[in-house]
Amino acid sequence: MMNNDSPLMNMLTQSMRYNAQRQSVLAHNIANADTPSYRAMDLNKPDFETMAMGAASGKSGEFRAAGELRMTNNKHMGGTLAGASGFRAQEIRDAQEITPVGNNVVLEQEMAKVSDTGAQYSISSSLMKKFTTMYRGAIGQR
Amino acid sequence: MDLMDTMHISAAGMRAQSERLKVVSQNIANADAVGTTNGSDAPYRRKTISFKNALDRETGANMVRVDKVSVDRSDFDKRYDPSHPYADAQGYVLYPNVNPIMEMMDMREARRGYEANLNVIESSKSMLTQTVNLLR
Repeated sequence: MMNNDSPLMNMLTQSMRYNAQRQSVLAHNIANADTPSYRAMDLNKPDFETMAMGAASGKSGEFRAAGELRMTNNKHMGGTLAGASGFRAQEIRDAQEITPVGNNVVLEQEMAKVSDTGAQYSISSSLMKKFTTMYRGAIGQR
Repeated sequence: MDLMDTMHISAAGMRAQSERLKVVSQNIANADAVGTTNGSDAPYRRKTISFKNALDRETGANMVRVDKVSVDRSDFDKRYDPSHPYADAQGYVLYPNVNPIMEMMDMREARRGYEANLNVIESSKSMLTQTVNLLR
């Protein structure tokens, strides 16, 4: 059965979502490359290892940022946990240069991140396509 | 839709950079708009532009926007040119406080920023195309 509960599909969806959201954050940084006192942001890196392990053991791939709080007990309160919709954006700490007006966007670095995001997205979407082709094969369509 | 927002954000960035280019071209065009030393006719004052990051209500995302266009308060350039019609008794003329090298550098930077935003749009567009291709 192909549905969103399929761990692989879920993982790919999450990865695409992460990269799309990251692209938006990076676009923000680049648009503000000359804004006084703007600080560059980036999304928290997702915990790929836990996610892959979860997927391998049959659980639906959980996709959380590294070091993020999680609910392991029913009595835990949800609080401000970023739900399925969001990865949290935060200011980058390893700023390489800060201009006199207090802007720490390094255009080259951001461009590198943009191309990285594009590549990751492309990997995920190709995998997803392969995956659907597999299912189509199974139900007898080309 | 994140990728659509991305394009809007980058478009706002491009708009801001082209606005900056407009200011630069004004400065360069007026680099020789001289004035008299006694203040009866002031020379052109260099304009500066600054950006800010403000919330756009339509998309709910923060977008870059031109904060204000102000003038550079630095001193005018006083040059000795007795044959100039605007020269005073000592032969001095006031030139605008525009430094062509600085304007050129500003122009380059605006162009670089514009290109970077354009690249992001292209990258987002290809990401969107890939997503649409999943349906094929």
